[in-house]
Amino acid sequence: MINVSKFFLMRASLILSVFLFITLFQNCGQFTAINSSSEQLSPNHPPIEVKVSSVTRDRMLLGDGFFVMSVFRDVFLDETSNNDIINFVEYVLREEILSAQTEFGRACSVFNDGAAQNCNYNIFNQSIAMKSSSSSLREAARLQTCQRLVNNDYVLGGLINKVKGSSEVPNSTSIAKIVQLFFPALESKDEYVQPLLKLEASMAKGSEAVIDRWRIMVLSVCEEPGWQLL
Amino acid sequence: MSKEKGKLNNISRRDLLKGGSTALAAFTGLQPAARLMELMVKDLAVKKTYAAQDDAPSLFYMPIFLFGAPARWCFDQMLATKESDLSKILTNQMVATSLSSSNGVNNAAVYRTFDYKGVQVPLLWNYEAQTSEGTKSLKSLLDHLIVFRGYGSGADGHTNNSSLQLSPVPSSGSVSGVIGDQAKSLFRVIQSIGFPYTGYNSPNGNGLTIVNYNPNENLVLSLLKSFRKNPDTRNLASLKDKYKTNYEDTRLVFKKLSKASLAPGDSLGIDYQKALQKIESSIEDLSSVWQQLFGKYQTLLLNAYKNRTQGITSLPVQVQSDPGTEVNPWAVQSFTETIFPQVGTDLRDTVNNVNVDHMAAEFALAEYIATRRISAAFEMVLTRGADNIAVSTQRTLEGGNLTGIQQRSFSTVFDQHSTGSISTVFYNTLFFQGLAACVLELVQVLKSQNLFSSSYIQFVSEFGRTPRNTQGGSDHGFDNMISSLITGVHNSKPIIVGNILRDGSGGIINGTYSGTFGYKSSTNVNGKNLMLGPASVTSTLANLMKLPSNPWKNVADPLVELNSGQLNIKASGEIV
Repeated sequence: MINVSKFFLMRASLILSVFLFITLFQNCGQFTAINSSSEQLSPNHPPIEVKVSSVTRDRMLLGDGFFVMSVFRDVFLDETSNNDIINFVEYVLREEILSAQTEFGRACSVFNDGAAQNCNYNIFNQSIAMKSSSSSLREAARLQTCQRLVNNDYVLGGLINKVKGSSEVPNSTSIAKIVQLFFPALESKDEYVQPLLKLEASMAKGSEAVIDRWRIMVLSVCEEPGWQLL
Repeated sequence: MSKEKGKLNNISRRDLLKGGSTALAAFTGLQPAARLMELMVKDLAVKKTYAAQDDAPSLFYMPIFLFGAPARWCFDQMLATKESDLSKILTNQMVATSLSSSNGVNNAAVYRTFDYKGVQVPLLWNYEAQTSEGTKSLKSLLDHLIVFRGYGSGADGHTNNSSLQLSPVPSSGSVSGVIGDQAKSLFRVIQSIGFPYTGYNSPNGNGLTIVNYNPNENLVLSLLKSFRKNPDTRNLASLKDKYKTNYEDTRLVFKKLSKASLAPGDSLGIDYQKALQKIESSIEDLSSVWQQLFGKYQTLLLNAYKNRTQGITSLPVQVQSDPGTEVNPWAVQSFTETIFPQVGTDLRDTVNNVNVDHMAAEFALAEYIATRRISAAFEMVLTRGADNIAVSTQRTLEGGNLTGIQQRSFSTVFDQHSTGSISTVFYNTLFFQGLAACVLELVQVLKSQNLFSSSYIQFVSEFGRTPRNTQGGSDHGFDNMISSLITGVHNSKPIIVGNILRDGSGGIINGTYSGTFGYKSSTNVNGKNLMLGPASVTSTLANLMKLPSNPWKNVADPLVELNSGQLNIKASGEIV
């Protein structure tokens, strides 16, 4: 009996030691990951020098192909979009974004229905960048997408219905809504609405058709590259 | 903490952006007017940066991948490079550069060379191509040739060895990847088909641009598709142009607010400007440019096939007998079967109606990219030679039995397991003299535009081939690899580095393969005897290209070094 108890005691001690050992390291990991400042650590922990890597500073974090396509869908489609509009938007995305997938980075997901197409028919495609980075071709593909979508009256009409409210022409409220579709995080409305209102006023003065005034309004926000930044 | 964690697990695009804006709000503390002024100054700086930027890459690198690994003894896998080496060669008819005849008909494959500036080279290099500058001998390419031989990986496999050639150390990136990361050109790296086995690997994580080949398609137009001026959106462009000043004012604000300007150099903004300018500027008439380039290379290639084996024989290459399946020197491997041409067939007649459009399109695209310097690297991938080679056959490998006469149309396949000795030298000579003629044309164009001194054209395949003793084919040569480079940094005579064994049968299955065929041996590099691997080649490339750092230096020393414009050969190249 004594031997058996000793045996269990030893096993229990061993299990407890392993548990404490693992827990200790898990805690360290959590602290390091969540708290970026050494002041927040327990005094028992050694001070951690936090360095900002030059890579972090020099490289922008850009959304990948899925992100960019998802923004276009968010902006130009909603539950009221009919099949023709959805098909047109998807067609343009496929032609412009998917066909330049290697420029957008990580557009290849084996868990997606279109895995074969997304991965250029090879799920081990090494040619697809693991990170997203900026390139002229990527920007050209994005600009073409903006122009083709905005140029389609039906696609544009869906977006206008989403933002116009009671006014048939662009105003500060609808312009702010357009901007927030692309830049959901922007808050200083006046700053970005003013130049757009000025653009709208000059187009109104130039007697441009109302739909063209909307077109240019949406295009000016869509073409801005910054909405791809995370 | 659990709340934060839960949020992270269910993060949406909007949450993510919202998180970013908090930091942004803290960052931007200026009043609107002052901020606008700052933006304008910054925008001017960006435009200046862009204007001052030299977009043309400092070098142009073009690996030509021959995926499948054709036998290259008739081309650049040079064995006996000194006159005294010729007597050392142990014969295997699969390892041939020419044909020999009796009774007015070619009936054997032989190894023959000629002297070029003290170096023995295969007869193919005598071929005279009809280039845009007139009739030119391929020999002029030899002045710029560096051959790497006698190296290996020790393991079989097409895809792994293909990737190893230009990316021997995965963490170091591939040659194209490293070059592309430094380029500021319109494209970083372009690849002719979506082919994952070139080992393309960018240390910075950059992607490459893929141009898929489709018959009758203008590949330059496909490449520049995203930069086209879209006729459907012409009205939109003119409307935008009409209100240009107001339109650009909005951009100044967004640029700041969306933190695009926070990144040093504003690379996103610069790429945006470049894309916009490229779309708005009228691109040259790509249709006539393409027709001219494609037509030029198509003619070059068709001439190479029409002249048949000008450099090596003018006699019929006639099938003499049907010796059976495994020992047939006239057999040809196709993608689906082994074809045994009917007795009496003159192989020269089988190429009367070849289709060379694929290769012509690749070279047309290559010349466009190289001369416009729109990319630092172009990976040309060829998985076959000419198409539409027509032959009558009376036997198939599957059955091995004689059948009724059937017609076959096939492509020059590179993985030539059951292509016999005579067919190997015949079809590969045609293919390589066409390929070399295209490279000669490209080199001439680059020279005329003073671009050749910074150009590097490499012939790459996953390995060399190991010749069967039966004359009936050749198998994978993962320990007798071969690669060669044509570059403007070298201009004197062919350089051949890497020792090879006189008797290649020593390292592999005795009795199945024998002769001198390029099997690796230890090579003296900087006074040390070493076995060479693919990193020896990439390390040499990095040195010759004067890359800011050589990612392969710690793995392998360069075999040839460029110092103060002078090439120094650091490795031996003997038959031992």
